[in-house]
Amino acid sequence: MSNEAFNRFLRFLRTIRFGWLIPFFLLAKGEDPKTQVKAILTGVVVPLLAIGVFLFAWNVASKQIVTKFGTVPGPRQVTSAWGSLMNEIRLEKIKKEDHFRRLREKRLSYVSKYGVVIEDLGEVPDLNPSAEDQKALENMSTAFGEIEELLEVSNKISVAPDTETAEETAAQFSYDSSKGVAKAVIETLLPKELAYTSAEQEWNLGEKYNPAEGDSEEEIARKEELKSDRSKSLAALKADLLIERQKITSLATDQAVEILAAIPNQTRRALRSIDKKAAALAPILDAKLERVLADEAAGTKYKNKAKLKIMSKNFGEKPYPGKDTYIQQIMTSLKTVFAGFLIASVIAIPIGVLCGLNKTINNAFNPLIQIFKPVSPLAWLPIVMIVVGALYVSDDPMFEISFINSAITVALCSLWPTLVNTALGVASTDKDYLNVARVLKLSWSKKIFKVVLPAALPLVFTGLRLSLGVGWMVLIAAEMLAQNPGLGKFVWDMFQNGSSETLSMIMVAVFTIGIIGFALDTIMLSLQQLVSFGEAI
Amino acid sequence: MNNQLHTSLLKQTPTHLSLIENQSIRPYHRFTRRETEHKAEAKVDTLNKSLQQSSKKMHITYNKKEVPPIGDAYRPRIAGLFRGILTATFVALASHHAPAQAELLDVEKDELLFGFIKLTDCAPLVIAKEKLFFEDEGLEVKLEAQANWKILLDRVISGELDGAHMLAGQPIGATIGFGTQAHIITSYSLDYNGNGITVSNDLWEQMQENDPALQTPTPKHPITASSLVPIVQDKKAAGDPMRMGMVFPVSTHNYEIRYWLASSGISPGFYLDRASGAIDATGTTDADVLLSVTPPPQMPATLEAKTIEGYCVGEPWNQQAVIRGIGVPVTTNYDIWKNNPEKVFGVTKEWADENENTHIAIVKALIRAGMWLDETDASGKLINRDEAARILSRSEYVGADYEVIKNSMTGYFYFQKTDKRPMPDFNVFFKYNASYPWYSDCIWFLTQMRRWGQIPEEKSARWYHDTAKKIYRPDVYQDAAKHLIEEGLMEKKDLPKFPFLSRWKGYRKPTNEFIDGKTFDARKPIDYINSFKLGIKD
Repeated sequence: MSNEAFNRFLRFLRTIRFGWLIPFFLLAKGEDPKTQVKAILTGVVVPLLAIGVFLFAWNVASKQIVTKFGTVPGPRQVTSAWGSLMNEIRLEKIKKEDHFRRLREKRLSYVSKYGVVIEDLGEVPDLNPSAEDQKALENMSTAFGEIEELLEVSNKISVAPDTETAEETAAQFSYDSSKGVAKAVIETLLPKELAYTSAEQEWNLGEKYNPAEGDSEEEIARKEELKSDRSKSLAALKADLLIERQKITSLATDQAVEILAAIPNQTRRALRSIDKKAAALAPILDAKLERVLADEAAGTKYKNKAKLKIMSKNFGEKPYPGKDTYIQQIMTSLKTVFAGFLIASVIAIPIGVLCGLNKTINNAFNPLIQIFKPVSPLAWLPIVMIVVGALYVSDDPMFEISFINSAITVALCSLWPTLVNTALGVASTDKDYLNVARVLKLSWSKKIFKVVLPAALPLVFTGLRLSLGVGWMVLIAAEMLAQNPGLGKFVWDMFQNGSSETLSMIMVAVFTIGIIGFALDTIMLSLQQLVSFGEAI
Repeated sequence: MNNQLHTSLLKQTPTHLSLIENQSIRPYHRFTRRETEHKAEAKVDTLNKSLQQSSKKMHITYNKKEVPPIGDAYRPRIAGLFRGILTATFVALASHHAPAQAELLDVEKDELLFGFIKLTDCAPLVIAKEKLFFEDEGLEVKLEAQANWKILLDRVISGELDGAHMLAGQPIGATIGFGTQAHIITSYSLDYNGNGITVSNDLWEQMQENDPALQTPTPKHPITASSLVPIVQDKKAAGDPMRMGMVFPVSTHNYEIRYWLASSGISPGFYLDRASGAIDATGTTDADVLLSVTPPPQMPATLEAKTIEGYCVGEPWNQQAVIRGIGVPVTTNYDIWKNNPEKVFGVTKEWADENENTHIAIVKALIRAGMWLDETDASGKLINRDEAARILSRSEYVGADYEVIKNSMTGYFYFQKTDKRPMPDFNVFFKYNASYPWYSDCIWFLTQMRRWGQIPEEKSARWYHDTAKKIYRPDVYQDAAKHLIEEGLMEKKDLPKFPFLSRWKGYRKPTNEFIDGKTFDARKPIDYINSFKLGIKD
């Protein structure tokens, strides 16, 4: 690698905030090892140590605080919560497949019955499943039978009062996979469930923790201490139990995914062809059956069009009415923040340019900017909700109202940094450039697009970067109240759940929000560096 | 995928099948056809016959060869059977017994979004979805948790939600214009009972001091608010009136905690200054106890923070207080009024007019969900509640710990950690016609709204009856039930019966099962309003 290319590579690393890797490359190249080692120590080892200390302190501190939701989750619990969120995504995929499988079967059973009605219609695709198709349908059905049992195993066994009962229940399962999971439950989860249940019972009945009448002060103090210790250990037991439950669920899901993966391609091909044939029938059904039924059952309120509708629905177009997974929620949040950011930029940059060019306009806008800048999203949101609710009325809205509410709130809160920085950037354009423009008699638009904007670009991007940061921060609050199904709603829903998992789930969200915010900032910083022509920012 | 599965049956060989049929074990319907499908076959025959009669061109056969019904072929358990000789007999038997089948409703809209609040009484909605009752009606329903009752109602009105789990008072308040004005109707009552009043540990100790009868781990029920009277008076005299929480100004909880307090002579405050006629939106005029709105999930936290000293809320938030050791439930609304209406399924009038058949289809699915939830075995034990608790405890539904939800769903209620009592009727979803939208239930709410001044002017008895008929729609329920009965999924005895020529169809019988023993006769709303010592009189 040439020296120049190497330097370019290093610059690139710095731009994408991977500058801490540079000393390693330089060391590998043998450049001034002493300086590089020092740089590694300060740039890599120290931050890693800090993270380590943070994790350690967190782990220790978390065990000390018992809230009404159990102990404050430590790193282990939060990782486990993340695991369970990822697991849910896989489960949701399986459920989705099951949903469409049921739909397919329903449709076929209707077609087999109502096919008779459309015989005179000419070109009708042959919907009678071939032997191969039948086999495919059966295979799917069996696979999902096994999955269903598999996912029920831990629910059925983990409530057993003792190991023997659990083993008896386990013996009744029909598939090896569920027997395997049952074995794992009995070996690892069940002892913990039983230990926790008995500990909780002892706690609930615990006379020895509650001060009785006539206790000396010493005695009361001793009991108080015992009580606090016991509540901590109970919470720790529960935290452990939750992690174990998550492991089992994950194990069962692994197995379920394997079962689905084992379905031969041939089967899947057969199913796809069934779907295709059914879809081809849709328009014919739509056009003709309506007429047939209208003739036959005219005057009846309940024409049997519903089944025909199910048949004629195009499979691919049908949304799956399952729950939003964590990844979908993250995507919604990102979409919303970018929509808001886009609106903010479209408003802020032109006004900023105007303000920068003209002192009078600047003076006119200034008080408004100063007043609206510090307003919290929570104050904007009700106004936005009411106004949007009144203005955005449509039978078939392109965007959800909640999405628009959140996006506009984000825009209102995040446009100020861009506006102020653009104005500043434009105002501080080098006077020499403007003079040259004047000498060359550049048109107004040319002056703006060829001189002013390029000169102001670094500051505009500083503004945009700040705006995106503000927008991302504001978004979570806006989503909580506007019911936009993103990360904000996730946090709110988890808070409302008030379960033992509440805190760890919210902490997962906190880290997700932080990491995504960091990534967004990095992207904007890289862009900013690209347009600042190597100038230091 | 939490459903019970008779998977062991799936692996049985055909030889075992006859045995299974004899024992009439119904295989899990997700992998098999529903019984109604058999009936559908019969229906096809009828349809074909009528086609033949009317148009000679149409034929019964499809593709001119004998095809086994596809619906059967992919049933793994049945698949083997169909290849055998038994096939003919089985099919013959099935179609022989099949009664006339009601046709699937022609729904105007099949992709629906319903809102709910994270409370266990959203169960019928969740169960109708998870047990595929909605799917059986050809509906694809998505459920979405809402932040609070106000947002939920607003989103129903704006059309973002097709329908929602609502407080019984919400459609009524909205229709008569208390709070947001919109014509909301209901044709399905989600449940009876299910609320409790919880007081903080400190307050409970003071109540025990005032009433020696309470000084036992298992005091006699119902507990009235009388032991609270001196405490309330002391606090009011000290200029710091007691504060308690309820869920929403038009929620059942508001009327229940008011009823409970007022039955012991404590004034919960009015929404109307009777002297000047001024409207008080906070409902605290002349109050001995200040009631404030707190979202249900935040009740325990607010109690713990001592912002309020007691609250009235649905489950699991009373049990939560016991489990977290921060409060003591003193009474449930079952004691305040035995079998009182709690939540309803509400839609806008406009939506219902546009989606007539969809509305009926939804109520059909909900009725089946209600029946499923209240299904009992021979000994009267609720058999599906445990599974329901497990489904509800999922994070996308109620999300609270399974153990917490199970406590109230399975017929037990912890009044204190040491005081667990069986309450088989704490959550009633279908029994006692709990799902029927009674006009009289609507009228009870209207009388309470008048009693506390939410309805500021005097109204005639006729107005009460007319308003109830505008909001509660038993006709839709009857329609749905008719279909279910035709399909053999519901029995006629599960529908309330009214004398043929009665003027009072849709009214419950007068009852005095209230904590103060007063009789409520919905036919005479004005008399009822005037019978209260505390309250506005007409």
